Amino acid sequence: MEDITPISILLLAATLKFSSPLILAALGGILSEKAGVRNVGLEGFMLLGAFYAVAFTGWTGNPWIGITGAILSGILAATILAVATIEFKANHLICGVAIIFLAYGLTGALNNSPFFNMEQYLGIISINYWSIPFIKEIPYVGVIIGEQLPSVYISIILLVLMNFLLCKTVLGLKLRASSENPLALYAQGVNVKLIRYFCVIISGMLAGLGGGFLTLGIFNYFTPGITAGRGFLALSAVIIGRKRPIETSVIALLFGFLYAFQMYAPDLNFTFIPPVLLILAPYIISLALLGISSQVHLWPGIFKKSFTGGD
Amino acid sequence: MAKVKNLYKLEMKGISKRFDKNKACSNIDFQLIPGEIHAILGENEAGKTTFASILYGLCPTEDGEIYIQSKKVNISTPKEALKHGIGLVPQEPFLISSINVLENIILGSEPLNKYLLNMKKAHTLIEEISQQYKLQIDLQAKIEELSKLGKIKAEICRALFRNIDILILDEPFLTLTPLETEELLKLLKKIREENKSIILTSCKPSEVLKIASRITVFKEGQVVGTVTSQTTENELKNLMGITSQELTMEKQEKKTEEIMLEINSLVVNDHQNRPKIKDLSLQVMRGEILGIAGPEKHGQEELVDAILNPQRALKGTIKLLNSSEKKFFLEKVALIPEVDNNTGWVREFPLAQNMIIRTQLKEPFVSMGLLKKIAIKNYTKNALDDFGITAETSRFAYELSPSIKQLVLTARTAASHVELIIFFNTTRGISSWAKTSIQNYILQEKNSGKGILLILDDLQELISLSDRIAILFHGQIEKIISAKRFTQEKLEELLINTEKNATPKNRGGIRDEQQST
Amino acid sequence: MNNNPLRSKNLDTEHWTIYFLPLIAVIIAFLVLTVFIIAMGGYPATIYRLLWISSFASLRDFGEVLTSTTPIIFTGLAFALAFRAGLINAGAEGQYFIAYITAAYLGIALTGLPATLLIPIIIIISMLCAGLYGCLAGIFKVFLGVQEILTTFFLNWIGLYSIIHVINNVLSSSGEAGATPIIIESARLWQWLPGSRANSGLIIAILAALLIYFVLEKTSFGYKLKIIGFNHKTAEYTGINISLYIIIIMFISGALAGVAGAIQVMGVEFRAFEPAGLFGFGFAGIAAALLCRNNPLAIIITAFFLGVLNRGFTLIESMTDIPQEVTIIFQGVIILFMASEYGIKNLLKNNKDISMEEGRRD
Repeated sequence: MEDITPISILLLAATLKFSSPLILAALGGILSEKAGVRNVGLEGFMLLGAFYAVAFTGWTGNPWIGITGAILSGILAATILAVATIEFKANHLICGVAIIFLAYGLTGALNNSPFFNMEQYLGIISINYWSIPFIKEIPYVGVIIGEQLPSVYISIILLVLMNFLLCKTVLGLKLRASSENPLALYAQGVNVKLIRYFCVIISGMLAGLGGGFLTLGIFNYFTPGITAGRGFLALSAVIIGRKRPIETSVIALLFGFLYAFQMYAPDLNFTFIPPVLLILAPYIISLALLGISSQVHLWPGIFKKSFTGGD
Repeated sequence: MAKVKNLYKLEMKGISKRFDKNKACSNIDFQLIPGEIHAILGENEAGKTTFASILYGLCPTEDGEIYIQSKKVNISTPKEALKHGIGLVPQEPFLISSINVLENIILGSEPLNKYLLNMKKAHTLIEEISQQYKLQIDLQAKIEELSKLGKIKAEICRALFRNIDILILDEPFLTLTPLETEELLKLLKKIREENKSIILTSCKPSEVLKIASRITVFKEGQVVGTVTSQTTENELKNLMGITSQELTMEKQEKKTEEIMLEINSLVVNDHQNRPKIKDLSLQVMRGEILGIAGPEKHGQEELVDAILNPQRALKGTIKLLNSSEKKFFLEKVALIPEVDNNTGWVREFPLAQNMIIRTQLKEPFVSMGLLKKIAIKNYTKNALDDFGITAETSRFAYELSPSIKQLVLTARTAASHVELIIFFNTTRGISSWAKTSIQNYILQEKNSGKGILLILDDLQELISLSDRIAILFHGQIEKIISAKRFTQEKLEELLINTEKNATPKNRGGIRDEQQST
Repeated sequence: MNNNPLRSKNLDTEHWTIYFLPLIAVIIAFLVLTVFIIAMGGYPATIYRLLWISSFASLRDFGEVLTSTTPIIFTGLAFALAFRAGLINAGAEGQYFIAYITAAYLGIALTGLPATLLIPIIIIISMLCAGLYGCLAGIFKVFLGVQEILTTFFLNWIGLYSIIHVINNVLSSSGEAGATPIIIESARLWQWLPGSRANSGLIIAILAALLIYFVLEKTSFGYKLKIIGFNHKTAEYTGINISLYIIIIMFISGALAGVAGAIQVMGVEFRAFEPAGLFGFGFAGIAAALLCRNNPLAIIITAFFLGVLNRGFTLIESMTDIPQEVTIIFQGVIILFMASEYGIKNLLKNNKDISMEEGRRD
């Protein structure tokens, strides 16, 4: 069955797979951005999630406990960021950088320690794909979406939920209102601090989840600095997508495609592109899109319907 | 609502509040009768805003007691204030531009459909209130499309929607045009008819007398007295401690007909690239004060920006003494903005370093790329001495009180050899002695032959100082009049007429432009 | 309006805590480190004794400390200068990589020049390359409105993967993998402490710190730079070309980080090695700069302090189970603490401050 599937279909399936951790982190990024915290720490949360997912899975043998570990580590790190930025009014960007320091330092230090010794799990940890009964049977579509990493389905569900939350609920209204003038919100009797804590911590949770699926679902091992800027790609997706869930996910899909393409380039006879360029592509394209999107209104009418609450 | 006649709706006893070293309010007693409009009158810095913030829970204080309907209450957050039926319309409206007007209004007390937002219900509820009070607000509009009055109306609508009993308005008439002021007065009277009480703060006795039934006068954070509306303007001024200081300077006729500043068919866009100044031409003569009147945000900022830096102009020419060189403008044009605007001011710098910004960033204070600290220090000392300011040159700028800050800026301008000075609401929001001293300075510079552009929203002050007054409306000069033959009433009337004539056409115009960007 | 309670946020510079906060930050970082060491099964007393010995036991060790101090001074200055202008240059690492590879290449390629000429040439060209690389972030900010922190971080990874590619494929030495050939004799800096790799780069670093201090405090360039950092509107009013200044400042900042890379090749390693990861001297500079609130002179001290840790834990890693990466955690704690300075100060003063103003910097 797999043998006769065209490469392009496999590429699409891989795109979904590679972009799902980015979408998860980006959804978290949207929340904290809405709450007025520019979350540079996403990179750190993802890295911590990636580490603890492998560590917990290795100990217990159950990848879902690993995922829980990833979520918990993201939440813990996000709490530190939340306290520093909300309680101590620290500079968000500097604090985010500090979180990245802590994440790199912690995972780097623990990686080689005899207690964790992450190398022993190389290749043996993984998470099972979910399959959807009927869709799985459809040719091509089945390959793309019928049997996929759990993160793909989770990110789709969360995407729908996020849209719903922002448009239809009271919390969503408060979120949309809370980014620019917290005092104005406070003056209406809204607990701004609580909302901000909620957003930052959930963003840590989602980014940790994304990081967990990155190692469990895609790499199947951990090595220091494995996220290699995926947190920043997620943050760029949020900025390029103007904090709107659908647009942000489209950008994250594009980044996922670049990673998938990197993998399938030899099979697709794209050997004339030097491999180093393929590695650099996500960063370069992200920078280019950030530049373009700030100059041009990238999203005219087409996506407006998805979310009409202003930008 | 009113159960017993002599029952106060709100009573405050012994309210005090200090910030760091300064006492903003001390031992204030205050009573509010149901269904009255109670004005709090006082100079700037007299503690009115602090008082309003305390009552609304924005800056809670432990000293003093608050009673509502004779029941002691504790208000330490806005949430509690709202619960007790107190609403605030602050000086700069608390509206959030990332959500539309309707969403702003329901924020904090959203109508629900089980657990979800019910925007339809919200719309009908707000529409009802809007009809009842004839508010005429566009609920789907974006916040930045609203005028100042529109914003105040949205705030009032929010308060009405929350069914508040006591409405506080902090300086609502500031920066409103005369026509808008009329409209707001009508609205407030209508709200009072519903047996709601209104507290409003103001620094102008004349305005307060138009509407308030009782007036409490604040001075330096204390209550000086409470009077009824049977009083006169002068009596109020006496209470406020405004000794009608006469200007020591006399306005002299200008001696020459030399053109100082010439602007021809100027076009300027704002930072979002929206057209703000459209085809504007004007002249300022040597030894003349040209006043600019008109509703705020009609291009004043962009006009000032363009005069400070002629490269901002998209089209048209700006010439200062027949030159349009950027360097010449840098040395010869200075701006003194309003208190809250920190353009030309670095709060984190010591005073001395603030003195050489823009015009003096040259020999002898900068030579060969080096700062000459001693020269700067001496220069600062002399400049401040000339103005009778006794602040250390090493003091940080953020330590100064607003009035002193404005005086330092004035002293800085006086010491530099500029030709054209722009005053942009310089005297707004400072105490009257500082105001008088700055007004004297304006006349002094006029008499010594400099060109002065005076942008002020206080029409009376504008008329008394200016030689000519240009009316700026939607980025164009509608009319230029001689200030001599004008009174405040006539100018107000003129502004109202301009507004009325232009309303349909121009308002539509602004909308279109914003949608197209 | 004036006594507006909502706007009364002033930094009280007179309060005693301002002098002690960096010290408290260091103490807290040491506490975290100690807990970590215990958790990893080490004995803190032993580790700290090793830390002392590995840095101060002999002149040779001290020389090694100075060797790792030098690049941190440069990257610290790079961060501090940009930060004073309100820019966050988190890209010192990438700029360092660019100069690192440039110096290695020039050190191999430029033969036949005397050392007195060759050394300045290599340093200057490496600086230029790194400066232009840093400049990119400025250009992106000014013309495209992309926040410099995003650009510099992406440029870090771009620099990292590029030089790994170059070292392995373009400049690879025949003998070993992951390193370039050794640079020629006349391109090397003077190692003045026999037995250690301490080199004349330290002198350049100290001179650079003095120069940056002078520029910031005594020149009109530094004055304008600080105005930009504090208040863009005032900078515009003063007639400063903000866009041009941002690009120039990012150039100088990148060039400073670049000197670190050049000196690392010319004075310490004499060749370029494939970097192990992203966190090296570039990021240590952020901690060094923030710990002394971006004071260019004090950076010499904080960089020395971080140099001690750097050198110490490199040795400790080879002797015990405590990995070198703990220094990154240490730096992270310091950064976090120094960034929270304002809030912590308020806490110590027991100030109830309801203002919602935050340190967001866009």
